[in-house]
Amino acid sequence: MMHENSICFSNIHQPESWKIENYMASGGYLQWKKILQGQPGNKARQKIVEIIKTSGLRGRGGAGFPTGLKWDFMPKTTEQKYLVCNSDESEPGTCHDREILKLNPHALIEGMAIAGFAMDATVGYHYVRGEFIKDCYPIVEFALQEAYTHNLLGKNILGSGVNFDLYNFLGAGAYICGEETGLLESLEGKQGKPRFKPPFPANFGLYGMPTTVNNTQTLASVPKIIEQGTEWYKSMGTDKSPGTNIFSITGHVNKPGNYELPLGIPFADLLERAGGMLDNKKLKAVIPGGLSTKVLPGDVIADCTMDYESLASAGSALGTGAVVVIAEGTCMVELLKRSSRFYYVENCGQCTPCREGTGWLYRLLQKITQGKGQESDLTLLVDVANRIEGNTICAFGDAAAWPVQSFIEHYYSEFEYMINNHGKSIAA
Amino acid sequence: MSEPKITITIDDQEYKVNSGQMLIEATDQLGIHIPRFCYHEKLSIVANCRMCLVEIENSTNALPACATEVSEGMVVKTTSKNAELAQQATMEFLLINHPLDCPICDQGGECELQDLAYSHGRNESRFEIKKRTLPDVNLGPLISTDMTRCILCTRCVRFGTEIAGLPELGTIGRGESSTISTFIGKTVDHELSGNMIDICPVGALNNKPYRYTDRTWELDQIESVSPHDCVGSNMFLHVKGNKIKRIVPKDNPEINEVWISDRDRFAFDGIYSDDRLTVPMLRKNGALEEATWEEAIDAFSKVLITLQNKKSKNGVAALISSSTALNEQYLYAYLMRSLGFNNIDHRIRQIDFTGDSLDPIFPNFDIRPHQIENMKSILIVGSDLRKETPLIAHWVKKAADQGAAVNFINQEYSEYYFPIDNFILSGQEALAENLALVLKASNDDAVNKLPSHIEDVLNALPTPSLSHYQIAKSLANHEQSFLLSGLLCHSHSKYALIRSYLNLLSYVSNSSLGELTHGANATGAYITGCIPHRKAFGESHELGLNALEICTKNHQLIVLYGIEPEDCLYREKLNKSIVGSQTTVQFSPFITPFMKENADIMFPLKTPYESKGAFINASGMIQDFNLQLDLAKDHPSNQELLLQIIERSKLPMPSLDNLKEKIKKFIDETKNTRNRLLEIPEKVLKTTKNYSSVSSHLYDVDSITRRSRPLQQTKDALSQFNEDQ
Repeated sequence: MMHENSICFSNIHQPESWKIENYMASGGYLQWKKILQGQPGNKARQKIVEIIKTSGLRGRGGAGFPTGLKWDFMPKTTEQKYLVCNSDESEPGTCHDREILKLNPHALIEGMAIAGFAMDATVGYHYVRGEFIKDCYPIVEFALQEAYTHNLLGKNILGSGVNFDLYNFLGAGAYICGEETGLLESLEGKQGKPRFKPPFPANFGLYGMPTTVNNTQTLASVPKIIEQGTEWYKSMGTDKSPGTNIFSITGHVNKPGNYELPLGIPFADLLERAGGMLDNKKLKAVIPGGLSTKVLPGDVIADCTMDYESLASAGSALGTGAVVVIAEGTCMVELLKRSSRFYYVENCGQCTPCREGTGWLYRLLQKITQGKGQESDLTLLVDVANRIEGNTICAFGDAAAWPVQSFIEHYYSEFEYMINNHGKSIAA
Repeated sequence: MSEPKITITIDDQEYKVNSGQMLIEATDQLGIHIPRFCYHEKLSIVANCRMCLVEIENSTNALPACATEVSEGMVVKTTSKNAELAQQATMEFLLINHPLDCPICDQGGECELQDLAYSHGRNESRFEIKKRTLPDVNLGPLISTDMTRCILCTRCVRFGTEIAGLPELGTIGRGESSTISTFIGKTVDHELSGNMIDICPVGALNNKPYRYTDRTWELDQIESVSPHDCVGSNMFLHVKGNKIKRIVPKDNPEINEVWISDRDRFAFDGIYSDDRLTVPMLRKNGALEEATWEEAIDAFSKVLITLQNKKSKNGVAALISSSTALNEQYLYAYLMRSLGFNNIDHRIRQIDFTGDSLDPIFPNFDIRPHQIENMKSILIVGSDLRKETPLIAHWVKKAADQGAAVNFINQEYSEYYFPIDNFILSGQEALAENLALVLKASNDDAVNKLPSHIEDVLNALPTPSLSHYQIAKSLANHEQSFLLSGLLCHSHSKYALIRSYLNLLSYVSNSSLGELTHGANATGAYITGCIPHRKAFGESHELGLNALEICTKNHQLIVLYGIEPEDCLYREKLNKSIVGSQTTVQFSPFITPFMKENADIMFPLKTPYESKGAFINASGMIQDFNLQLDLAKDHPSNQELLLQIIERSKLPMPSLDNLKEKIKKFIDETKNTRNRLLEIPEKVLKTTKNYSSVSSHLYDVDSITRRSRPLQQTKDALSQFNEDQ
């Protein structure tokens, strides 16, 4: 296929791709310099926002919100504004931002500088997942220093009068801090508990000031889009889901890994890229966009293309693009139990449904796998999930409910079998 | 300022409501009830309990009424199937880990969770798994904890952060293991902390002294006013039979909002002290023995009548507590004055009386407590504000939080939980001078000019510093400015001078003025004539001895009404005077070993908690308290006792009819005609022992507070004890 590794991964196969001279050798920071050397005023800012809007770039954090529109929401006032990059990549199955941080950190820094300029945010924060302390954080810190040494960040950058200061911030390892307002709280030094919205961060964000929070992949895509133009960008992907996406393929495949490919690629092609099914087993199910998206049975996903619309109409979502491939022979009850445990231990505990409900879900599933389940537990499981869904401050509640709802919807018989057979799995 | 009205539809009915408010505020005003736990009108909105979820048209999810702003054309369903489903879901979640211990829970019967469980809960639990339990934390002697009952609404946490200004509680842990806790090993010590008990919607935080004593539905609720400071906080006494069981706040938006201080809440325990006096005592053959009321009244009247002849008049001294009810003060002053005894005073924590001739008719705030919130610039002089009047400190905090410039001139530093612009730490000696320097700085470009003889005095002072100028400027620049003098001024050796400077400063800077006073009814004491230089209603009178003079002399008769020597700033002197005086009579709810040794007649008093009466607070608001408790058989009320003594002393019976109305009218008239006195006292007290370094301790203000067991176990009281050692 033509468009492999064309944006975020475009230069990662070069040796020491994370170094600034190598990034610059492949055209890095040219766009940022161009902006600085032009007339960096409000017109130039709006022009960038328009380019991103026209490109159709959508947020890669999971919700797929149009990035240009988000940028445009920022008030055009002179007050302090902030840009925050969300590298708290913790959605189970997702590991592509890590690769960007390790192999292409300067694309992110350049993207943040451009985005900060476009929104007149003179300060940027890069929130890095706590667990990245060893392998990513030193690299992004190194890259940040390089960028400062080359006068690409800071005050009056290259004499242009433009200011943009960027700071890396290491989280403490909580899934909920990937939720943008939870992230902002954490960044402010508080417990990572999501805020009620509205007000949205664009109006009341970090320290109460207008703030835009974008995902790593989104921001790292910006320099290439500016460089190659919107037409080039839109030539990849589908109408409504243009561009490329990094798919983190895990599970029962021969070559699990990160693949940057155009959106809209048929699932079958994607599976082939990942070397096909492990041990030639039959495809049973796929969680297409990280653990929090609904599971799709193999025959349903087989007809899907990997973009926002196709997966939504199939009843799931593209999410973070973390594709978990599940082969025949996997016990869906055990899998769901393991998933539910994640939400049980990772919820922040501030609002009632998650705090109380996720533990209930997990324990009910535990009861079933221990062979103590009853038929009525399945109704109860779905009912509890339904009662969490939509009733919480942030989307965590939905994320905890969807796996339960979809697993039981598609694999009811497996749950039933286990209940009727004292904890014996149908897959065994 | 009222916001523009918008139309919203709630449960198929249209309403006009103000924009800019949250839905739950609108429905509360309309009387439509939406269940809630985390929402509290005085606290910030967190929307975490999810109990107030309602259905709103065009929204896929149910939305929390506490965090959803009303908007034009909004269609709300509070009782639709979806709304109820959402609310029932929350209730079920809240109950799965909540213990089913309502029968032994103190909150039972007044529990928001219990009430809503009836309307929104299921009959049977679907949760068959072991419930979560949590260890309890020790929050100190006032608040008990049952953390397993906690529903993590975080009202207590927000109370600490937002109202007290001292975040003593926080949420630790995450998810299911979240719990409310103090920082490791700390207790909750803020002087308003007891309010957490009221705002806790479940039985997690409860009243520790009251715990396990009674069921709330057996209690009668009686309105009352706090007798422990000059704020006049409104509260409810919860009474069973003849006994006060606990005290909770009564909402008064002008005085105390929905809060009361811990002193207001827990001090009443002192009235059940072991050394309570319930029968009159009379010294017979050298020993103080129990007597009948008849005997005691007779004996006292006899002494009074004997001393009534002209020669002995000056041999009588009468002190009275400033926390005495209005009618008692009036009768006491009437009794003494009518017999020709002029040595009457209540100011037992004052040492400088040189300004008596410049005294206002009564000390007073120009504004009501709640108006402090609207002030843009506040200068506080000589006050340990949080300890003296926790609720005035609360209003000042509210003003400061809204951007008011708060400045202090104080002889000692204490901690405040709001932003302070300038804190001039003057020390004892320089308090008056620092105030004078602010006055000098203000006078430079003031609209209201001072008389020249005062300007001469100011000109002799050194040049004011930057802080003085900043304070002066802040007062001058804001129309809403307020000067507040605290209790440390009262006990200062240059009290008269300080008060004059404050008057002058309020004149040149056009600021409102307020003076904190000791006790709950100092204003009443001034108006009823419990001062040596004026009779009731401000009438000037032949000068008698002031409190300090009384305490430094021996008398033929000394009468203490509602006070014990411990209340007095110069207690050693008073003790000596009692020992040296021929006859000592004490009216008191308590008997101490010292008084047992030295008193000749003792009358048991009912405390303000047990009798009817009224106090006038610092803002001149007259407020009734209404409980009448029987203490012992034949125990007359304080008023009856005084009337009987008056009668037996062969004096004409005074009329108490319309006393309150008369006083109210007097206050209004005096307030309206009052001008700022532009004078400085001629004499300045030079050599007086420094009493004013003795600040009035939070839990040592009166005989009742001193005897309250829970309050004496607080950190505040214990640290004072250590200081005294």
